[in-house]
Amino acid sequence: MRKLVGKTCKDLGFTDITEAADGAKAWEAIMNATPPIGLVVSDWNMPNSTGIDLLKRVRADSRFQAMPFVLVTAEAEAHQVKEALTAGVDNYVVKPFTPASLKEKLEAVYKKKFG
Amino acid sequence: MAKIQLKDGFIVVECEKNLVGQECGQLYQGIQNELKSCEAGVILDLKSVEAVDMGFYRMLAVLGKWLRSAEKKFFGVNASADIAKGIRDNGLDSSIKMVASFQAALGGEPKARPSIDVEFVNPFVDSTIKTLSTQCNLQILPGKPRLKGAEGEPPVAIAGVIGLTSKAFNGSIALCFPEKTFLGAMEGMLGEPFPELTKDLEDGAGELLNIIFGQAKIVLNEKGMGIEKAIPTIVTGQSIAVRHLVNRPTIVLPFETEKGPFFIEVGIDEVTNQK
Repeated sequence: MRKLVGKTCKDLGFTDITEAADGAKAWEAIMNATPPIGLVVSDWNMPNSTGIDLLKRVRADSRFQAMPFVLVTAEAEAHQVKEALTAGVDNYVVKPFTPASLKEKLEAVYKKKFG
Repeated sequence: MAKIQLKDGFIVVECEKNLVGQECGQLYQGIQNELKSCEAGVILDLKSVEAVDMGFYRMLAVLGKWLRSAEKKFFGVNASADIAKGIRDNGLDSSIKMVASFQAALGGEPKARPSIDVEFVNPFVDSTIKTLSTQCNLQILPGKPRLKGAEGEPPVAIAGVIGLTSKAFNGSIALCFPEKTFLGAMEGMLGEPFPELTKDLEDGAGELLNIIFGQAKIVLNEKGMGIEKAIPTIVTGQSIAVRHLVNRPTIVLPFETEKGPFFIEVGIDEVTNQK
């Protein structure tokens, strides 16, 4: 899935893409990135630290509270969507998805945050 | 519109007064929409029917042929003497069996398997078609479900297996691919050809199964089945076989794609309340 999301982001024109194998590595990458990460696209199910854990960690840190964050997941039961929204997700991509639908969601988040 | 409902594995159709012209087409379409949920067959309740035309008889012939090929039953009940005669005169008494009552239809023919299987399996079929067509850009054609071992399955090079735990069922589901089909699915998903199975690609089988499971879980949990979250395991090798540790026979759901065949195995046992 990381490959697919990375490829779609490249196709969208993003050039500086940092990939992480799990939530813990993603958190490290977010903290150490210079310049700061402009958009996070995270799977929900990941080893070590899940996407929702990562989102909560990001939102709990004052430096990253406004960081655009998109969750990609097959988990779309109502309580899970609610959990993600409560935690401060900007958008939610449900698998299976087409590159076009991912593009649409990413563009919407990016425009809302950066105009 | 005719009233269509599921009862004891049968699609029961309460037909309207007039079955002529477009009404036959609408009725046929209505039945078609329900056929995938139909385990045992179709029962037409002809009690209210007063007028029919050739379209009605053609519909019976087509439905009868389809149901026979799918090894399902086709009954007509409560027909007037005129309608019953019309069916006989048009040589359709081998397509649709006219019986005196619902009881004769429902009780006279044993069901192939408990209806719980259909209720459980259909969300997986729907979810598989949606996932593989959307994520891998494949045209998916579902085949007829069968019991494992009834026909030879294609040799499996990679399978994703996921355990099922719920209030109602326990068991496992496996998504099984021959190598060529899997590489074709990955090509469709990632937009580049792959000559062989690699470690990187193996994760793709788990990902697809995760999506299929996630979609089906939503539907099943809306029905109150309480299926819990689970993590898939990937198995690779030459002609691998997955063994489901359940008492009931394993169901095979075969699919065809332009890249080759694949199938899903469903092995489930109902949870019994042991104290």
